[in-house]
Amino acid sequence: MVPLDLAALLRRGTLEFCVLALLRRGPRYSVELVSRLAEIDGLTVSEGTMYPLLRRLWKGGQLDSTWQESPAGPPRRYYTITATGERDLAVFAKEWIKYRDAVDHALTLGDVA
Amino acid sequence: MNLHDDLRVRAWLDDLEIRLRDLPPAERRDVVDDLRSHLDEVLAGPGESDDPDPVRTALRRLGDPEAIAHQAYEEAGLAMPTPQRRLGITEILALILLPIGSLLIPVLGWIVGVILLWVSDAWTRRQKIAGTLLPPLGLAFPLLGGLFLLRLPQAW
Repeated sequence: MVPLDLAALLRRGTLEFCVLALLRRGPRYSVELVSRLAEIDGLTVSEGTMYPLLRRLWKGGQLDSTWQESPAGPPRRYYTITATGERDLAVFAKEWIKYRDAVDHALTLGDVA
Repeated sequence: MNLHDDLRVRAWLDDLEIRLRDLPPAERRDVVDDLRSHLDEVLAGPGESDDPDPVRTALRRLGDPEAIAHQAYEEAGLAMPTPQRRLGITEILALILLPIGSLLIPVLGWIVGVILLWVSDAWTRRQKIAGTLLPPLGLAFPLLGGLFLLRLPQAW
């Protein structure tokens, strides 16, 4: 069993919205998307763990996925955010900002941050 | 991709597939397919010319198969399976009976080996098919067969 650590706890419920946010500017190839996510400092995810998450978002209707033929290699999958995804992301962003500010405020009250 | 690289990728995917054994078959297939496609794409191009081992880099970036499996179970809302027994009595008997079972009890010895092979959850279906079809006669083949089934090529 992979022990639950703090980073994992924080990722749950938030990571999927980071994924959706990265798709807002336009469609991305899956390989490019997972590599970009893994590069975000502090997110501490590996590329492989992104695939189950992407699949769940696709099943939930927040992403669309299509294949594109590639001249130089195998067909590539690419993801687009859907209207549902945009809506869910907007709702999350509002909640997240409120909560993030609240947590920061609590920490300053404790002279921690 | 040369043969050695191809074997390493297959071994890694097989290992992941085994860890996903408690997922519904469709989910398990989807996850493995996604990762296979990822590796196919990443390893297809010329790649970074100064990377001496693109396969190792690609697998390292994918991450620990245990973590990927954990994520897959979590997304499916399932618990991870109990730690897997890789070499229990079933596996040991299978590895003995497959090559030399026929010498102990003609034909039947080998058949019992095949049954144990398929009953075990230490190998993927692909590995079990390979283990069944490898010639059960002769000493060179059984030795190679045993090594193949133990996936020692991973260590090469």
